[in-house]
Amino acid sequence: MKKGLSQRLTALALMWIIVAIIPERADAKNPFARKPKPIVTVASPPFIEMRTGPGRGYPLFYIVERGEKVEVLKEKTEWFKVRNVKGTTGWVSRENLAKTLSAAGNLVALQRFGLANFEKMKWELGVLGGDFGGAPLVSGLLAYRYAKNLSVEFTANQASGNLSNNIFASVSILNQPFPNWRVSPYFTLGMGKIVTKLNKTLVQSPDRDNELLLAGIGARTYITKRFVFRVEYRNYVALTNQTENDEIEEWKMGFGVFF
Amino acid sequence: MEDGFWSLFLRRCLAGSCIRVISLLTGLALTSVFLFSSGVSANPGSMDKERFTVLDPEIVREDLEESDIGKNDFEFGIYGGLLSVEDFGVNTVIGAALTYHVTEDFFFVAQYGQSPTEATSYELLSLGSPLLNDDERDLSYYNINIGYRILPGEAFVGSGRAFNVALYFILGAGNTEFGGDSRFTINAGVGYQFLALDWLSLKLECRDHIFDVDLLAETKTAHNLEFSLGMSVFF
Repeated sequence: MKKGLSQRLTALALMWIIVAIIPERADAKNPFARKPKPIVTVASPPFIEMRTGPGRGYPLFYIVERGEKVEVLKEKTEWFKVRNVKGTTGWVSRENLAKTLSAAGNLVALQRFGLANFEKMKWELGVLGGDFGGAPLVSGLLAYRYAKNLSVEFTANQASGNLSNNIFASVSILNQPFPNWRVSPYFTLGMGKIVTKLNKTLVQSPDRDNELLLAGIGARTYITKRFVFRVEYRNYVALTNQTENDEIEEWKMGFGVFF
Repeated sequence: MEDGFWSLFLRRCLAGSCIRVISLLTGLALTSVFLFSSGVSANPGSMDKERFTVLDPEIVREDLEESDIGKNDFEFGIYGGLLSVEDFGVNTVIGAALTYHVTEDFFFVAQYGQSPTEATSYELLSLGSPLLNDDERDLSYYNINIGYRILPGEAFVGSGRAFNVALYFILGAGNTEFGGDSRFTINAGVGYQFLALDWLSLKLECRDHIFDVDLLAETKTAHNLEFSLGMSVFF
């Protein structure tokens, strides 16, 4: 009992120490602590324009003059919310902010989206629609480019037709021989899994669950900003336990966003 | 328990269990030191001084990186409203939506919603066996859409308050689980977004879920209209 008491007291003391340390550390190291917002100075053009909202359709209501400092609060798509010394807040465009100077006196380095970024893309997120063996298809994809010509791609798909409902997923390696072309063709090889459910109005039968092998060919095209357009054809082989494997043709097209 | 704290303490010290007692005392001493030091920094005067030196942009940050600026391109929201399912009545629908704003004009939005449905007039009039069981009567859907914002502008509430608003169109595809089967669904709609705050928006949306139904005699394409009110936050 007495021994327990001193142990408990030691534990309590340690807890106090931890509690006492935490607020000290929070300021210095805690990544969740609020960082001071960056401050920029209006320089080469005589002024930048503030709008009431993050879009060119929102009214222009304030001019920040040369030499004035603004605090950059946040970013929404292509627009930045800023606040000046007087406390006026508004939204400035990416083009406008890119003309201001950072505290070090350099032009603010903002990424400009264009063909160069398309060639350097790392991640792609996309939505495609099409046809999977006669059934309308909805497909979502996530791709990660790990080498200049190679990406690994994951897709999740559903194709529900008049006869059956197919849910399938695939993983594939995508080879892009000419990543610098604006219309960049690619080949893909991979595997997956499919679950096929026959529709209720037909004969009741259990769900089928098969492995898939796939080969495909397609092309990505850069449209604008972060957008790409994709067209793809895939040939799937479903490894069934019947005498013959099923062969399924798929074509699809859609949009992707890259990072 | 008849021993007092100090006699226990002394006895412990003399009895050789000193190490634990010393560690206890060290712990207490350190605690008081930390409590004291945090007490000093809690002093408003010195805190202000500290804050100002830390906040001086000349010292803290030199160049501005885009990653230093917090992005708010995602939006998550919930909605509720009415969904009319052709032949199966008008019922409440609830759902959730995740939006990614790519540019000021375009966005992607994924939605999931659920709604119960009612017996058809055929089932009610014929007094026959129901077409669907309870599970099949519940409808759920998901869809992925591309959205386009048009007519952005301001709405004035009273004479001194202006809010950002926009009208948007969406078009996409998905699947509807209804009547025991999964149905490929085309989805189109129009909505009105009202930004109460930079990060909080209210939405009024009207959309059409178009899918084929084969539950009554022949297969037909059904237009199922949904009217909903939602709320979302940007992050």
